[in-house]
Amino acid sequence: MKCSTEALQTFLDGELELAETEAVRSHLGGCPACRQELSRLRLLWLELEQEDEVEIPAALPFIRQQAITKARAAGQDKIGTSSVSLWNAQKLAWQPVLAGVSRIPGTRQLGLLARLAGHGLPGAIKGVSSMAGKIIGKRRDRH
Amino acid sequence: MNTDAEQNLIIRCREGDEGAWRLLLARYEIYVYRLCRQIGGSSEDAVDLTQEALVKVLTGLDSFQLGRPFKPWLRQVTVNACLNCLRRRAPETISLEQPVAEDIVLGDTIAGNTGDPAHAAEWRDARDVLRQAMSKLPYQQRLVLVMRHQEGLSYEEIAAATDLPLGTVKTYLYRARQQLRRKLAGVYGWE
Repeated sequence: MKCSTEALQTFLDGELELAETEAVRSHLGGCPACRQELSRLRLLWLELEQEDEVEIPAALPFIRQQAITKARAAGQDKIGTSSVSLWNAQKLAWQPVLAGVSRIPGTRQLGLLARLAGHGLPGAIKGVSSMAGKIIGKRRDRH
Repeated sequence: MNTDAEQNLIIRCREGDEGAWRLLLARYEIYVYRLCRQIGGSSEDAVDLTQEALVKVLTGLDSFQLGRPFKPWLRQVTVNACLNCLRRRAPETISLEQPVAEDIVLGDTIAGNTGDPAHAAEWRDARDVLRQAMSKLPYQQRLVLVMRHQEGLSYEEIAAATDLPLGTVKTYLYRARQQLRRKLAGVYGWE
């Protein structure tokens, strides 16, 4: 085996296969330069594995509260969007049409409106209106 | 807190109990902050990253499998939140840690790093030197270092946690540690 810093790193990590570990061990036995490098890397490992003294910010409870507020808002958005069912969406889509239909005047109201306006109904509308009046009247009689 | 008490707390959190949210975050926020500080590289970034991570913890609790240990899940959520934030912020510049040859990075080739006494920094504690050097590493390299040396994960576990290929994890670890080893050589006067 040749000198290899990469192999030494992996060796220190304990990530070499058994045969590779043995090869590194036997190489180290005869290579003072690699032994020295290994001891230097061990020092680096020691530094890296020590828990860093991280100063905890005083604002951490505030950050926690902010996170809770954001999570609450995100949860409400989720509930808001999931509760709009297909039926509700259909109802919303049809609402303007239904509102318009409810305002279409009946045959009697048409005649009344025309009289109030001081005019008779135009011929074509008058015909249709009186026909419709007769049909509806007959149906009412049946009941 | 024993495992049962913790699982009960998580169940209450899932039901939207805000008091339980507060308890859960109070228990783990220092761990999350510490991790964000190490991955982010600065305390300014760490505050933003922590908030982002804590929100993800609360909104993602449904994906936690009850009965399993909570900390690995928490670590994964924190790492993902950090990576999402850092990817968005990553500048489109060339890193000085970009390798140009074996054991040499771009930063080493720039004139000025000549070892001239006028440029020589005062001797500082090895820990400070390493901390500063770590904060200058690309965030992916810093992330794998933290996962390996602070969280004690294996190469495969790091690959799974960071969504990086196994070979990339090994390469990042090697490059980052070579860079830090060079900094340590400066402190101790190794040739």
